[in-house]
Amino acid sequence: MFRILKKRPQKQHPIEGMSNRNLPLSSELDKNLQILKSIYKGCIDVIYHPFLIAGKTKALLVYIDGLSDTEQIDSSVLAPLMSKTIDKSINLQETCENIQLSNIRVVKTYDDCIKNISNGNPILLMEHEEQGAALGLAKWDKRSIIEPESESVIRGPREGFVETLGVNISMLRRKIRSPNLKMIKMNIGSYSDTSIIIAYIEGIANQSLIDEVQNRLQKVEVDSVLESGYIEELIEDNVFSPFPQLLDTERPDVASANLLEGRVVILVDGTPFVLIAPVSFFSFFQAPDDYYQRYLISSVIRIMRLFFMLISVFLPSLYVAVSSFHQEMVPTTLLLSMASLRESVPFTALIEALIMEIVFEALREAGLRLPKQIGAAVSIVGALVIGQAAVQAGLVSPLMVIVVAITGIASFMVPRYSEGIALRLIRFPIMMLAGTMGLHGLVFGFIAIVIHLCKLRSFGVPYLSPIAPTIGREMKDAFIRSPWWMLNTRPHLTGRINKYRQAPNQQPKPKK
Amino acid sequence: MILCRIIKAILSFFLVLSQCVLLTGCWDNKELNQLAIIVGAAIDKEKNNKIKLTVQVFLPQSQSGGQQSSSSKAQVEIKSAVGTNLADAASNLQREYSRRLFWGHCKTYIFGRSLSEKGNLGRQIDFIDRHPEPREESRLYVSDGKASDILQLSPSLEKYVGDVLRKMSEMHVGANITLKDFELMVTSEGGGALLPLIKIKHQNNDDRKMNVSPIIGGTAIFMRDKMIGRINEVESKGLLWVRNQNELPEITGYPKKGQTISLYLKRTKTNLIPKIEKGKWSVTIYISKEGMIVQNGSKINIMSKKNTKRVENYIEKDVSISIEKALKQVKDGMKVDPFGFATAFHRKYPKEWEKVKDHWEVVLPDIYVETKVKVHVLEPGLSTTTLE
Repeated sequence: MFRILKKRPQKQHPIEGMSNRNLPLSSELDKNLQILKSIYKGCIDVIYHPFLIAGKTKALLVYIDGLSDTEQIDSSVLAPLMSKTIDKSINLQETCENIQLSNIRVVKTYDDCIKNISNGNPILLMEHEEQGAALGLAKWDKRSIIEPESESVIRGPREGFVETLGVNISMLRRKIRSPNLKMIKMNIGSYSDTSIIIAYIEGIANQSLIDEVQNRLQKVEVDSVLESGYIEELIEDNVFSPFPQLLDTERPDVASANLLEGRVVILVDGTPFVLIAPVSFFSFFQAPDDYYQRYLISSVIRIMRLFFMLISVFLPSLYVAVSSFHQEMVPTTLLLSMASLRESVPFTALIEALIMEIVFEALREAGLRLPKQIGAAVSIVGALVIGQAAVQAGLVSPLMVIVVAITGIASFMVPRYSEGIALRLIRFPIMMLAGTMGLHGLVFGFIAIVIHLCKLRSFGVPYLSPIAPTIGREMKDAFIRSPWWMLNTRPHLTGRINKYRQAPNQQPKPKK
Repeated sequence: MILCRIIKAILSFFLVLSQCVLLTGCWDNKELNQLAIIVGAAIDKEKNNKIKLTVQVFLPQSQSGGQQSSSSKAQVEIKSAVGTNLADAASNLQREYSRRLFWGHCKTYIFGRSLSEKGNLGRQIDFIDRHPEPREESRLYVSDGKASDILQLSPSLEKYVGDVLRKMSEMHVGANITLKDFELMVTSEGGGALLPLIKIKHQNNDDRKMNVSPIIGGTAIFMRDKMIGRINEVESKGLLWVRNQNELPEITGYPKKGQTISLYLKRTKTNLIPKIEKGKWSVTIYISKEGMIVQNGSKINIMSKKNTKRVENYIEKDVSISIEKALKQVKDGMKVDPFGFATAFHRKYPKEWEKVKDHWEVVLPDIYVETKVKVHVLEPGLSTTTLE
C-alpha cells in the first residue's frame, strides 16, 4: 500500500514570460512598453502612463494602482517634469535631478523593473534610454501598530509587529540603535516573492549560526510564503516532533531581547509573527513580563508555570491510572468518595477521560475561531455541558470534570501557544498508556518524552539545555528569573562570543 | 518520499500503541466500580479448626442527578464467611459479592481473643503480609470478646469502626502497632509482642439510647504469635514507656491524698542499659520526660523552682509505679519480654546471649530491673496556685 504513496515525478511549471525577464531594457520606448505589457498581460491594476517631458521627450510611467502614492506622483514627478520651464531635451540623469524625490534608483533590466513595480515603486522610462528610474514612492494601506493580542502583558511595551516588513524593521531598529544590528535580505517564493530578513547583532551572534540560517533559507524553494509558519516547517531540525523548535513572537521587545542573547530573528513580510532561532524548551516558558516585573514574583510564577505544565500533561493520565489500576494509592477517604461519585458512570476511567478531554479540546477550538460575540455563547454552553449536564446525565463523574478543568487551566499557563498545544497533544497518547498499563504506562510515556526532548535540537542547540546538557550557570534564567544584577552573562550556547552583557557587582547596596 | 515516511511513522506508532492495548493491556485493570472496598476485617475462631472472617464493605451510593445523599455517613455492610484460613474464608466471602473484594484500603484487622489465645496467629497474619493488596502499615488489634462484634458498632464521628481504631492508634491511645511492628516483635530475640486490646464500652445517653463505642482498654501480651495474657491501661502505659513509645501525653501525680497535679508531656526518651556483673543480669531503665503543667489541683506554689522539683518527684513516682506494675505483671507473671530487654542484651553481650537464648523465659524473671525516671517541668503555667 505504500507504493501508491510513493513519490510521483513532479512537474515544474515554468512561469510564463520568464524568457524576457533577464533582458536589458531597450532604447526604444515602444518596445519596452510592449514587453512590459506582455509580462503584465491581464493585470488590469498595472497603469501605463505615457507623457512628454517638457513637451518634447516621450516618457512612460509604469506603476500598480494602490501600491504607489499617486498624489506624490502627480506633485513631485509629473508636475515638475511636464512644466514648460525645461526647454531642452534632457537625458535620464537630468530628468532625475528634476524630480523632487530622495529615493531614486536606476534599473537596467526588465527583471529590475518588475521587482520595483511589484514593490510599489513606479518606473520611469524614457525614449532613447537603455535604463529607467525606479521612484521610491511605494505606499500602501497598512495596519496601525496595536497591542499584540496573542501575547498580552501586564507590564511592558504595548506595541506589536505589523504585516509590513519595513515597519517591523524600524521597530527593531528603534529598540537596538547600534549599527551592529545587521540584516540580511532574501526573497523567497517564486510567485509571492516575499521579502525575508535575517536580523542579528554582529559581535554577539555566532557567525556559523547566521550561515546555517542563511543556508537553510536558501534551500527553500516554494511558490509562496504567506506566513512565517511556511518557512518554520522547512528549516526546523526535527520535522516529526510535536514540539516547536523555533519561537514565534509578535513583540519587538521579545525579538530584541533574543537578538541581544545572540539569537537570530527571521522577519517575514506580510505577517506580524517573526521567528527566533535557536531556542530551548525553557524559552517557551519565559514570558516578557518575567523580565519587567520584580524577580521574586517572576521566579515564583515561572516555577508555577513549569509545575502546571507537568499537570497539564500528566494529571488526566494520573487520574486514569490511579482510578483503574492503583486504587490503594489514594487516601481511603478520597477513594470512598471517588467510588461514590463514579458509581453511576458506565465507562471505564480511560473512556471517561478521553470523552471529556476531547470535548474540552473541541470547545477550545470552537471558541477560538468564532467571532467574539458567539465565542462567549460557546463557552457558556461548554461550561454547562461539561460542568453540569454531563455529570447529571451520568456520563462522567464530577471528579473527572475537576480534572479536566484543572488540566485545561494548566495548559493555558504556558505562555506560548505553540508549546502549549504540543503539550496538550501529547497528553492523549499518555492517557492511553496510563489506561492500559497504569502508572507504568505513564512512566513509559514520560521517559519517551524526555528521551525525545533530549534528542531534539534547535539549530544545533540542545532543546533541553540548560538541564540536558546541564549548564549550572544557565539555570539563572530557566526555572527562575534571577535578578537583573545577576544576569551578567549571555546564554552560553548562543552568546558565548560576547560573554558579558553588563558590568559585574551591580547589586544595589550601601557604600562600604 | 517524506509523505510516505510520515505515514509509515504514524501507522507504526498506532500499530505499536494498539499492541499495548490488545496484547498486554488491561489484564490487571480494575475499575473503581468493579470493586468492593473492604474497610475493616475481623477474624474469629470457629469450630473444627476453622476461622470466621467478617468484613466491612463500603457501599458506594450513586450521587448522580445532583442528589446529595441524605446522610454524610458512609454505608457499610457487614458480612462474614467461614473458612479453613483467611484466604479460604475470603474466597468463600467472594461468592456473596458481585464485585471483587479489594483489600487495599483495609487498614484495621481485629483478631478475636479466643483465636489469639489458641496460638499460631502468624499463619493467619501471613495472608495480610503476603497478599499484594493489604498494607504493611495496617494496624492489628485484639478484641476482648468476639472480634466481629466490634465491627458491628457504628461510631459517631468517623464513618466506620476501622477508622476510629486507626485514628486512636495514630494519636497514641494505647499501643500503636502496625503489621510490620508486630512481625518485628515476634521475630525479635525475646519473641515477646503486644497488640492493643479493644473493649466495648456501653454508655447511657440522655435520650436513653445506648451509646456503644469501642475503646482501647489495655494491651494483649503475646509470646511469639500466641496471646498469653492481658494487662490494663495503667500497666500498658508503663510497658509502652519502657518501649520508648508514647501513650496519652497527660500524667497525673498525687502530692497528697485528694490532691492532684497533671503534666502534659512534650518529650520523652527511654534508654535501656543492660549489665552483666558476676553472672548477675540487670537492666537499668533511664526515662527522661519533659512537659508542662496543665492542671494544679494541689496547694503547691509551682512557680518556685524548689516546688517544681517536688512536683517532678511526685510525677516520677507515678511513672515508676506504672512501670513496676507492668514489669511485675508481664516480666514476672507471664515471663514474656515485650519490653525489648532481650534485644538490648543481645546487642551488648552477644556471647552471653547465645548461651541463654534458648531458655530466655527462665532467665527473664530473675533479671533485676532498676527504673530511673527523670521528669522536668518546662512550663509551669502563668498562675501560681489554685483559686482558694
